[in-house]
Amino acid sequence: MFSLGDCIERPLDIAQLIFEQNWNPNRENCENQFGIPEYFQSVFENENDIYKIPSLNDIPVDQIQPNTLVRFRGMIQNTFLAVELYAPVHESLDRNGDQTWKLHRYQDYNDEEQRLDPNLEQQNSHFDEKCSFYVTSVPGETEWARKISFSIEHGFRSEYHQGTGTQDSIEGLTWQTASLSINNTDIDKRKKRIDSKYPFPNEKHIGVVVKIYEKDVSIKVTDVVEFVGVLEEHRPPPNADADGDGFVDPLALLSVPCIHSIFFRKIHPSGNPLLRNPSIERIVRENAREIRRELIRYIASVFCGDELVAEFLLLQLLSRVHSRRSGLILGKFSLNITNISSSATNSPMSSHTQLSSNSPSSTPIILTHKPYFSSTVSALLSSLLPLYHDLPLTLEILNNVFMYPRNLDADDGFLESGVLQVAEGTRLLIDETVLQEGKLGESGVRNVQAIEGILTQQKLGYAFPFHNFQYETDIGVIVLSNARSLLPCDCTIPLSPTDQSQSYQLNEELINSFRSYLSVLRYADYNIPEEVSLHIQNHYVNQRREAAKSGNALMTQDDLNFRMTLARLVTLSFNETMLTTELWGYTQSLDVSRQTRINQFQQR
Amino acid sequence: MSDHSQPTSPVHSPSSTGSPRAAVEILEPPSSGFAITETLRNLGTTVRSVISNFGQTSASVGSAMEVEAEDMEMDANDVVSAGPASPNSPSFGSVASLSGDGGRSEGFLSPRSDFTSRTLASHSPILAATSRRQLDISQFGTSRKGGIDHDDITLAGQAFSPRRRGDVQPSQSIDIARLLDSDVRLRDSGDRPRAIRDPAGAISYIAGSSISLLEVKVAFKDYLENFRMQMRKEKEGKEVNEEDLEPFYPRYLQKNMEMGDNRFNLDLQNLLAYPPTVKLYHHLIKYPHEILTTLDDVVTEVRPFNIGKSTNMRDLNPSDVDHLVSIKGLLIRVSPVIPEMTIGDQIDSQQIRLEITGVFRSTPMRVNPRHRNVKSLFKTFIDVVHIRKSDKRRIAADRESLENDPDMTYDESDEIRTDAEGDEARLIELSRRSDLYELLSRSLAPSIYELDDVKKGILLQLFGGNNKVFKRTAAPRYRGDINILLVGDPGTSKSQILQYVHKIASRGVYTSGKGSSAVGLTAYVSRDPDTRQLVLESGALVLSDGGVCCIDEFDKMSESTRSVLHEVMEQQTVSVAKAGIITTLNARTSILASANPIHSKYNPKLSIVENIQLPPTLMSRFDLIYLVLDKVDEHSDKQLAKHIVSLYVEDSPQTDENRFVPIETLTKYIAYARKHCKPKLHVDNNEAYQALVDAYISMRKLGENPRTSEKIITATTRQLESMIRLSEAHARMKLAEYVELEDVQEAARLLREAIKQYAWDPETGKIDMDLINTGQGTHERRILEDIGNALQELLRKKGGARTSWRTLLLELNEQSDLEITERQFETAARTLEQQGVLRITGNGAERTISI
Repeated sequence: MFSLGDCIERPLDIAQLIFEQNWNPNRENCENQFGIPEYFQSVFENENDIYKIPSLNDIPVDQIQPNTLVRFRGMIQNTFLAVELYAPVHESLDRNGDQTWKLHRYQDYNDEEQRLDPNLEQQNSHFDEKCSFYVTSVPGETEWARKISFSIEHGFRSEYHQGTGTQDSIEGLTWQTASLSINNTDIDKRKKRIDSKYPFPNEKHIGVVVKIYEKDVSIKVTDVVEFVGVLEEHRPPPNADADGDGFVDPLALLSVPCIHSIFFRKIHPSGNPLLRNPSIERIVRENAREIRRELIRYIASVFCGDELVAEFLLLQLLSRVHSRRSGLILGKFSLNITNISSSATNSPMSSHTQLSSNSPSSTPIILTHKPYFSSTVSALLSSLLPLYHDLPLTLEILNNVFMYPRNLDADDGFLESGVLQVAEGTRLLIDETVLQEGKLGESGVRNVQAIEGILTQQKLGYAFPFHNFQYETDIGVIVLSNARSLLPCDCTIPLSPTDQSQSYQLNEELINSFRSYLSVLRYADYNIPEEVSLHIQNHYVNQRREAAKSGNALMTQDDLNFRMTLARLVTLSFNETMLTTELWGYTQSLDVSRQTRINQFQQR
Repeated sequence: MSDHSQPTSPVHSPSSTGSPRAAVEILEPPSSGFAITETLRNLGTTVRSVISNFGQTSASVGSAMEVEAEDMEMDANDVVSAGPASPNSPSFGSVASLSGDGGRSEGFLSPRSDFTSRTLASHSPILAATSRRQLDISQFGTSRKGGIDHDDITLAGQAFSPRRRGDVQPSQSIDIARLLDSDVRLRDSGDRPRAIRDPAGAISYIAGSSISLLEVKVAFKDYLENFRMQMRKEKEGKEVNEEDLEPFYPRYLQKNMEMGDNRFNLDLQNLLAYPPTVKLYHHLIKYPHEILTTLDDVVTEVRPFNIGKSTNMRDLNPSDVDHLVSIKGLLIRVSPVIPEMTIGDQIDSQQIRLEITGVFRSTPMRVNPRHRNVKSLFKTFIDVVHIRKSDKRRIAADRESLENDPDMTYDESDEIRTDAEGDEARLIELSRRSDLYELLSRSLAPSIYELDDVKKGILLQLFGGNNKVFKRTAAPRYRGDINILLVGDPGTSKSQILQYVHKIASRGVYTSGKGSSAVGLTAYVSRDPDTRQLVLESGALVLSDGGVCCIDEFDKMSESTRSVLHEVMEQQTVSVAKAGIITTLNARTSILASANPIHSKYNPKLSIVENIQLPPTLMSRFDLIYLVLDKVDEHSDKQLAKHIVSLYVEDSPQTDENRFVPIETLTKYIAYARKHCKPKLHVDNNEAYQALVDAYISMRKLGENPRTSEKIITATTRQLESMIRLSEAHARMKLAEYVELEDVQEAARLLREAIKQYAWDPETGKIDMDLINTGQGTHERRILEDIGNALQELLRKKGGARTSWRTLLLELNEQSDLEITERQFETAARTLEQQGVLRITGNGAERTISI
């Protein structure tokens, strides 16, 4: 009916036309979507067609015409920021004096238009609600993930700007557009407000308000969603002090771009753009064992050749919360790698701590690892994972940065983000080696509690003025520490450096296979056959009996739980779907060697 | 609230909170009213806000009062000039009352706000002062989940208006003769009311309704004259005595007059019971301002109460604005009374449960208290017309003035309601199941494997025994709450159990021993930021009043903190004496604590007491002390492993519906049982009676063993009480009316089982580790009993001669259909040995048994 170009350039006209086809004034059914989302969805059925829609992730907002179709991929930061009442259908007279009906969806209400026909009694009994969601760019999206999704979407034609490329300039421009005609202090204030809605402090990002017209929305906070919709014309934010009526719409104050969503789709939780290639899964599965071997070597090259740590880290990267049953969270696997300072000999013990103690207030806090060792681990992880972020655990950061989202003022419903409000599957590398003695303030204690909540329950509390609401999360946590971490991790393993000179040669193809391997196998199926189940039961019983005889520590329920988790990850890492007795045996030996190592270090 | 809608602010959309009827709509006649209405609408808010500002300032700063008062007067004049056409309407309580002075101007703007003048009108000495005061009332208990609206409601009594009721209408006080003699004739010898002459000569209606004020007055007078208690009692199916046949209110008013009390407490249930005033009841709830002022013309200071349903503070909606509502809450803060105290009673700062009847009102919030700009958000408060303490036993002032106090028991608003009839039938059906006890205990924390007896103990804790007061002997209250301590090896899911109980208990508080201070558990005194007054804030134990307080890491609690628990656990109160506040707070809470043994892990070489290492004073206060030991046992280990492995198998059909009761049903059942069932120990039931005595004596005997006098957990009368409580809880679980023998037996078994007495060698004070198994169900118990009987039989056949362990086991197995394991056999034999039926000598496989 309409060309793709029409759909992108004149979405509102097309929506109006579809509306006229489907509208029946007598039926008076305004909750109806008039088949508009369905139509647009059918037009953009083909993945490559969707890529033709300009994306706010890549193009600065001021280079896009308002009232055209745009898309935006981001993480939901706040659902139901505001609920607006609006008249979806509006009656007016055209030039000939005939009555026409006009659709008012996918745009904000236009005052002028209403004034055009004073003759008409406005008897709009049809009202509907639209909800605003606040969406930020996906927090912790790594460089390569952005780059690859850009090149996929643009058919590898356009060049992706390296380093401080597009993303930066876009955000800069966003700022410029947002701050047209306002004075500087206002900009500062607003920038702060917008910044507080992004999990990581002082980092560039884009914030967008998305208005959703659907009734039944299944979107939750921290979901990663791609919205396709109409870009609202930019309006300068109202000046809060000038009219002085005291109540200002918090949305308008934000002055971020606004998209009227026509349809949206959830992004696969792995967040890996490589998975958009359907053949990738087959390739990964065929070469799984080989990739596994290489990947361990690659990880070990960073961990001073320690392959055991590398293997555990690999298993950590494959873990996810796969079920929550009667209070048990199955599949969570937080890893604590200890003995860092002594092993990372070549790190000149962190100029970072000195820096922060010198000028604690003047430099803005940025969550990046400064010590040599943790920054190399950070580089490793960000080269492998699509969603990853550093989290140095200094006192300054604990006391000044908020880990949990919070809404301080009951009146404005403004939910500020916290570091832990990240998308499902994000990995955080916590560096505890930079933590020094000192006073932990009240917010620091709450922050530590929030991190503990993630580690033990995989739940994050959102602080509202009168209550705390807990959301389920799935955040992978890796903790680097000197001795055993103060955070309750599922698995502790000391680093035992073997060969420091080892380096690893990488090429693009290999690293991409690593990335796909991790993303594909993390979501693979898994099952335990009956006979293996019996085998495990006997194994457990025997072990306890022997331990009781020899007076060793008994294997507890928790230990069994942990090994079951480990067995699942081991199975997945070998690209198997069934646990076998061999794999179970392998898991046991893996855990036993970990425990022997812990004992060795304790004796030392 | 649906899942995805959560991270929004709890603020209501401002537009929906607006006052539904503009204050001036009551103006009459409507013809001249329109223009003025508009003006007043515009100005009304401003003036009102100034007035309330005046009220606030006067309460805090005396000197600011005059300044603000002038300000207000000016505003009032503004209004007057803006609306010169304001008619001298005959309608009651409206514009007619306009005069130049500040106080009156309020009446002009909003007839209903004249009503604020008696927001303090309270019978209770606490509030019987005529100046302004704020009460903050909190929801009972802690809010653990969801709901957010109106969590904090400020009750503002603004009694600054010069027109106080008592002052204005002194002549109208209680002169019954005059009342009945008044020129408004109500009835003409039983006929329907005739046309009535209003002194003002016109009939007034409440704006926007067809309610005639005169009719209201007539109906009310009629009610006063003719209402008899009999009507109410018959309606409620209660016994009617002779006195109830007389009209009630003349007597009541007479008494009031004698007492010099000009407050009239109007029980709305009575109003409902009197057919002609049913309408009035509904009108009163919908138009409290207008109707109450009208009723005040008939009798002074009408204070309606007992609406019949009290709204949960969170459920107060915009639709309730300007309606009469009743809320219940815990008084948490009382602002000081500044001037004009009429009664000098000191404020009782203890936490008081109040039921408040009043008009729910809203006023626009101001951006800055010093500016007149208002936000479109509204602050809500309640204009109080009646306050009473919810707890019946505590009612003082109210009960004296009103004997017909309705049978109101305090009911917690945060309890799970079991309203639906079908539900009730289902619960009763559930109570008839033969495996009820097993079923419920199994459904408790299903994720935790085994620990059946611990679960049973906790189940009984949730049901709870009866609180008893013996009036005859004037003995203090006996608690019905059951306290449980779990002591055990690390990794035996103690904390998980605690977390679970915390979640399902009607009011649960979870604390960790290490992180709690004595003050954090009980109560602390702090200075209120608004009023600079000392206030009392509740700690965990007080907050869990009526619920379960879970304390993890009990052993890591400091000595001083633990000592606080002494009072709580027996007297169930918390006494505070600090910073000028001396009071006793209720803390009727069950305590569920968990601790590790003294050396983190249970040391079998030490005796139980040495392992637990808690002061005996504290230990005796726990009804049940569970030793949760990680014992190697092939069978249960295997079951456990199977359980865990199955969790990892995707979509395994593990949970069999018939084996478990869903958590909602379980909580509902507990709530229902707690509410409806109060089992007693019947004196005639000799069996149960005797069983209690026997169990107690046998427990005492254990303590008498001279060789172990130091190491033994001596039974005191506390243990006897525990046993009674547990039996009551067990009976309550069955929804039984009386405690039966079975209940007592189970209670005694639990007590014994808890401390592993059957596995306990009284000679050494140590536990025989081979005997411990934590998961012994009834079924197994029955089997054990059978084995015991069979064993006795067998030995008797042999003439009581020494027989070797193995032979006996083999012979028994030959007799039996089921296979008897060695463990079962051993347990049975041990039990018999403890009962003194037989003797076991030797060790291990060499053991021999004789009678």
